[in-house]
Amino acid sequence: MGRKRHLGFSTFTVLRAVERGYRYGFDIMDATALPAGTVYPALSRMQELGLVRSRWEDTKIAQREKRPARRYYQITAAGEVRLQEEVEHYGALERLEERGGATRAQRGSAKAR
Amino acid sequence: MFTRDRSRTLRFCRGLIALAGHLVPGHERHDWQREWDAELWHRLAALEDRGQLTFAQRTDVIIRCLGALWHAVWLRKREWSVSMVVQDIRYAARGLRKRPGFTLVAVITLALGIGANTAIFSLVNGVLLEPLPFEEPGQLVRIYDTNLERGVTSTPSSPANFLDWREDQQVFSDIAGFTLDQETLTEVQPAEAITGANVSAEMFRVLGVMPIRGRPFTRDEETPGNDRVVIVSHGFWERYLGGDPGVTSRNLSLNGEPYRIVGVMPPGFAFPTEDTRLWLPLAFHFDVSTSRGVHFVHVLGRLKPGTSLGLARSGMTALAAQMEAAYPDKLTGWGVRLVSLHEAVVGSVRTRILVLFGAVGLVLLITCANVVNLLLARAMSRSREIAVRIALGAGKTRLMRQLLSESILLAILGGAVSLVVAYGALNALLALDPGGIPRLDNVGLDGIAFAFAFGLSLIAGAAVGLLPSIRASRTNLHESLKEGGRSSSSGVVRSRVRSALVIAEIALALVLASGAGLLIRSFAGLQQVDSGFKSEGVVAMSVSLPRNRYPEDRDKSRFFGTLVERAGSLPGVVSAGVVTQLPLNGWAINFGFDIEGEPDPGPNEGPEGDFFVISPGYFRTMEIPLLRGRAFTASDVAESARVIIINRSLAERYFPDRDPIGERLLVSYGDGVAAEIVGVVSDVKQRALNVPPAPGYYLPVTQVAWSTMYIALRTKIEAGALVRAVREEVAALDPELSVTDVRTLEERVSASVASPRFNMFLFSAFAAVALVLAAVGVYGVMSYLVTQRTQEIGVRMALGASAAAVRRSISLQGLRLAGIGVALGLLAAFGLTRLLSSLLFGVTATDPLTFIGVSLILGAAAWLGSYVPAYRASGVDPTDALRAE
Repeated sequence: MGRKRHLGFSTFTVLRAVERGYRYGFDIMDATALPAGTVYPALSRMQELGLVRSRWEDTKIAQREKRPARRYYQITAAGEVRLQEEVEHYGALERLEERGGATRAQRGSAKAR
Repeated sequence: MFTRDRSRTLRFCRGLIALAGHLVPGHERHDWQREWDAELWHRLAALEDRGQLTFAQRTDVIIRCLGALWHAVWLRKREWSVSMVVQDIRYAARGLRKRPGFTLVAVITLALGIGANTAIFSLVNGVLLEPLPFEEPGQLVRIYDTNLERGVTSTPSSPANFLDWREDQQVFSDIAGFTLDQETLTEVQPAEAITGANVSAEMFRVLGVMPIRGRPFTRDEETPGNDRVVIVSHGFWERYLGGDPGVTSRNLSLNGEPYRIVGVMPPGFAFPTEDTRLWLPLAFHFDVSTSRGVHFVHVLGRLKPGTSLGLARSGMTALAAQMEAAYPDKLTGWGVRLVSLHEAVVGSVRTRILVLFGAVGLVLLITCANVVNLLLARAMSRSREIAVRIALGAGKTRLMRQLLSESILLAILGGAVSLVVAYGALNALLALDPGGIPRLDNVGLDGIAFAFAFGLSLIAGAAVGLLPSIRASRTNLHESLKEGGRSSSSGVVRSRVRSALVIAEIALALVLASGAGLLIRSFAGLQQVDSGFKSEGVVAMSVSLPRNRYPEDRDKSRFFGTLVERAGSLPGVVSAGVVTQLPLNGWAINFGFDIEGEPDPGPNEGPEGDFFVISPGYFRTMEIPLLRGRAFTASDVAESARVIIINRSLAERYFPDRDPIGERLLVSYGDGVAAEIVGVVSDVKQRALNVPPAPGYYLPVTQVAWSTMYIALRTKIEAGALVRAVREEVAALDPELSVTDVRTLEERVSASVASPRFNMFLFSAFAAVALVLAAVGVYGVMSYLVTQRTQEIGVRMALGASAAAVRRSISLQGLRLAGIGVALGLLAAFGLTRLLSSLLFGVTATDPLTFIGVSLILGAAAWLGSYVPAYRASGVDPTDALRAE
C-alpha cells in the first residue's frame, strides 16, 4: 500500500472531510453522505497509512459533563501532503454538503470513478 | 435525562454494537465499541435537543449501526491478511526448529499414516475409479451365457450363438467376439510365444480405438483362407518390426505361416489382457452350426446411444428366449447375463480393495491420535510461554491460529515425506503380487495421488491441531505461572483427554489386529489344505502345436508321446508326464458325457466333468495316488480299446452304489467311441485350494488329442538346466515351436494363493504399525501421569510404600487403560470383521480364538508401554518429590 496507488474516491472524500475539521465519525458521515460501512474502514485504513490520527477526548472533561468521551480524528502532516496530491489527481469539485442529518436513503452514494 | 424513546433506541443500538463487536479482533474491540457507544449517545442527544425523535431519525441511527457490523467484518477480514498468515507460518517454523526431536517424531508418524493411505488410494483410483481406456467406456457391456439349472452364471458364449446375436440383436450399435490364444512368432529364432487375441471385425469399432496405421479387419477375413492377416500392437511394431512405416505391406511369420500385417494399434492399447500384442480375425475352422454346446467366445457390445443397460438386458433376454425355443436340444435352460465392462473387470476385487482402504484409514486415525497426544504434551511444556503472551495481550484467536498453523505445517511436512513413503509402499505392494487384481499397470503415484496426499495432510493437520490449540489458548494464567503447574484441575482434564485418545488408539489397533489375525489364520488354513498332489521337485512348461502343421489328431498324439518319452529319459528326471491342464489352474475344460447303459437324461441333466488328456507317467510324476484299478500303460494305444480313468468325485457322484471299473463312458469330445473305466484316482484341487474338486476324468494322449499341453517333470536336479534340456528336445522335434509358462509347481501353488497372502501381509503390516503406535501412546500417557503424580508418589513412598507396590499401581493403571481400549475394540471388531468374510477361509469373522489371542497381544503391548514409566515412578526419591512444590 504505497504511494503508487491513489486513494479510492470515498477514502479521499473522507480525508477531505477530516481536513475540513469534521472530527467525529458520525459528523464525517453527515458531511460526506457516505455510509458507516465506507467511512469507518476508510478511517482505519488511513490511520494505518499514517494520514490520519485518532485521539480520545479527555475523559475527565467528559465525566464532568456527564457524557461519554468521543474519539476524534485529525489529519497529519503526511495526510496533508497526500491530500494535495489526491486533489490534483481528482480535480475535485466541491462535494461537501453543508447540511447535516440528511437521510441516507435520499442521497445516492458519492462514489464516482 | 433521556426520554424513554431515546433510551430504547440507544439500548437497541448498543445491543447491535455489542453483537457486532464479537467479530472485531480482540485488541481493537474495546476501543471500537467505546467509540460507537459514544457516537450513538451524542447523536441521539443532539437529535433530541431539536425536538421529539422522528421515526426517520431513529431509522437512520439504526442503519448506521448496521454499518458498524460491516466495519466489524472489515476489521476481521483485515486480521486475516496474507502478511499475517506468512507471519504465522514463520512463527510456526521457528517453533518446530527449536524442538527437532518432537518435530521429527511427529512428521515421521504423520508421514507413515498419510503415505500408507496415499498408496492404497492409488490402488483404489487406478483399479476402481479411473474409467477404462476406451471410447465412452460406460457404454461397453459384456455378455455372458448362463444356465441357472446347471449353476452356471457367467461363461463365454458358443460361436453359433455369437454369430446369431450379431445378426439379430437390436440393442447394441455393435457387438464383437474374441478369444485369447498363444501364437508362436516364428519370424524370430528361437521361436517366441506371444499372447494374441482372435477378434471379430467390429471389435475395434466397439472399443472405439482404431489402428493408427492400416485398417481394422473386414467380415470377409473371418472366413478360413482369408484369415491370414494380423494387426500388431504399437510396442510389437517398434520392437520386432523396427517401427517400419511400410509395415502394412509386410508379412509376419506366425506359427510357421506368413500373415499379412494390415494394421498397427496406437500406443498403450491392450485388449483383452495387458500383454496382448497381436490381433487375428475370429475365423472358425469348423462347422459352426455344430458348436452350440461349446462355450469359448467372449462377447462385448457397445450400447446404442440412449439405450440403458436395463433395456439391453430385456432385449437380449428376449433374444435368448427365442433362440432357446429354436434349438431346444442344445439351448434349453440357457440365458444371458449382461454386465458393464467396468464391473466385469473390477467387480470381483472391489470389496477386497475397499476393505484395505478402510483398514489403512484406521491406521491414519491412530497416527493422528498419537500426534495429538504429542502436541498436547508439547503445549503443556510451553504453557508458561503461552501464558506470558496472553498476559501481554495476545488475542486468543490469534494465538490459536498460530498454534494451528504449527500443526498444519507439521502435517504438510509430513505430507511431503509421505510421498516418499507412498512411493516405497506402492512399489512394495506391486512387487508382492497382489494376485488377481486387474489394471495394475494403471496404478501409480500420479497428480491425483499427490492431490490426495496434500488434501489429507491439510485435513490431518487441522484435525490434530484443533484440540491442542484450543486448549493452549485457554491456558489458565495463574495455574501456568505457578511453578510446574501440577495438580491443577486443567491437568486432570488434560490427562483424561490423553487417556481417552490412547484408549481410542488401542481400540482401533485391536480392530486391525483382529482382521490381521483372521487373515493369518485363513492363510495358514489354506496352506494346510491337501492339494491332491506333491508339488515339490516338479517343473512344468507349456507347448502349443499350430493347427496348420499338426492337422490330424494322431500328429499331435505322436508329438507329445515322443516328447514325453525323450524328456523322461533326460538325466536327473525321475518321471515325466503331459497333461492338458495343470492343477490349481483356476479353471478347467469341461465336457459332458453319457454313461452307457443308463437312460438318456434330459438336456440339462446330463453328467459332465473336468476333462484331462494325459500320458501314462502323469500320475506318477504328480504323485497322485491311484485308488482302484490301473493307470494307463504303453499298451493303451490308438488302435486298442478305448480307456478312461475317473477321479473319486466322479465315482462317488455317478457310481455311488457300484464299482465303476468296467463301466463305459461316452465323452462328448473326440471320435464318439465309448471308453471303459479302468481306474479311479484321488481328487486333485483344480480351481483353487479352497474350492472343492469337481468330478473329472482322464483320457490317454494316444487316443485323444489336444493342441496345447503341459509337460511336467519330477526331478532331483536344479530346474534351470533341465528346462534348457527340454527346450532342446522340443526344438529337436520341431524348431518352430515355442515353450512357454515355465514354472515349478511350487511357484504355481504359491501363485494360486497370492491373493489371500497379499491380504494377510497388508493387514498384518497395518496391525503391526498400529500395535507399535498404541504401545508408544500408552508410554506417553503413562509418563505424563507419573509426572503429574510425582508428589503423591513421593508421599506414598515416604509413608512406607515399597517400590514394587508403586510399580504395580502404575502398571495397573496402564492395564486399566488397555482393558477399556480392548473392550471397546472388541465391540467394534465384532461389528466390523464381517466385512472381511468374503476373504476368509476356514474361520468365521467372529472367531473367538483369534479375538482372545489378539486381546492378549494388545494387553501385552500396553503393559510394555507402561513398563518404563512404572519403573521411573518407583525410582522417585520421596524428598525430591515433596520438595518440588
